Amino acid sequence: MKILGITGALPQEKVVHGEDKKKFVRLTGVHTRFISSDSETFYTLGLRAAQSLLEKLKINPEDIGFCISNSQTNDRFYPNIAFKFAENLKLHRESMAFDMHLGCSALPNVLKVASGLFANSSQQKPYGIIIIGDTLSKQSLKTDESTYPLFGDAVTAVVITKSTEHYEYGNFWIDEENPSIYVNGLGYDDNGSLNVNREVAKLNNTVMKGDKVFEFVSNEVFKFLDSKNLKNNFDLFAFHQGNKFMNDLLINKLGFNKSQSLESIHLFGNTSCASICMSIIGSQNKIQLERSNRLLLSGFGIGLNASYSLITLDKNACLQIV
Amino acid sequence: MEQFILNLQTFVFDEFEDLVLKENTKFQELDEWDSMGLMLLIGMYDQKYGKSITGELINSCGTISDLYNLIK
Repeated sequence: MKILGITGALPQEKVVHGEDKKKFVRLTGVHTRFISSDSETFYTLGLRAAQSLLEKLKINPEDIGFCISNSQTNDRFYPNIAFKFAENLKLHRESMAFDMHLGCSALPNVLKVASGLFANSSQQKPYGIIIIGDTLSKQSLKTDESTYPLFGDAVTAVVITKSTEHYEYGNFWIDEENPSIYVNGLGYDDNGSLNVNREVAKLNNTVMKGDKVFEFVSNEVFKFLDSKNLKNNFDLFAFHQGNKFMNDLLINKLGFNKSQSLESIHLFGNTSCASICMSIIGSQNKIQLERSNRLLLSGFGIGLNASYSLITLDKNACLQIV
Repeated sequence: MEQFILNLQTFVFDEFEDLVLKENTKFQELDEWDSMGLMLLIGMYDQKYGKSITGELINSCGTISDLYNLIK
């Protein structure tokens, strides 16, 4: 399996952090980010990205075997939004279309599911499309000074195809008794405990215990990635963009070369499950597109969960923002 | 201890040149202390001392002397 192209769709409103956020910017690396309006949602941004990518790659929608959409800020809980994408992208009615619901660690996990679909003999079509992203600004309280300024909204589309190049995947998770990242009103109360009375729960409040996530990344994620002996198996790597200080520490501990790191937090903020794709697009000046590139992709965060993929980015891959 | 305080000033409180830190300073009562400082401090323990110190442990400390004892 390999990646043929990635397109990111950003909302119109750009927020630039000023002098009052100097320390925050230094620590997190978030200089600018994009905030969605009411009409800019996971679905509208995702459709824009996917339509543009298919057009650029000149792919006939009939040749797409499956559409996987992944978001934690889906426009609706049900029915499945992937049907709506598939319908408007004019995919064949017998193609597969389904939603996944992972956070910052999503992309390698979604790619693994896609590789499984390609491996199935009933999957005859050459292409698959993934639509992945979040509009977390809609689920964060503006008064939360440590969480709200961190997140930027973005949705990306990825087209993949079956190939013989080496592909690898790894994953591990911890089910926390008291989650480090959760949303009040969507199953958890103020203490992070399961709340069955959704009517009285507060909505729109993403809670993130930054120090817990930091500990997880600097200890558990480091040990996980270090144990896989990945260092000499990639040309470039893209980690989830949660926090610049945290990522620099992880890169340093792993002994990876920072010049091989594809990053985007300075441009778009923490774009949750879109951040790996946004980093590939945002740092494409580091990618030699005249040849194929071996990429290490790793996502980590909410769950807690960490995952990685070793995958090929095709020669002359289409990388764009719309 | 002197070196530890110097590291605190460099890694965690570098934007506050006039801030004087002492062994008995109650760091959590400082206006300059916040959740970002906590993250920087966890990073300092990791980078400078090779120690994985949790936020919970740091929050249980009262003074800078308590923080220093975590590296022993």
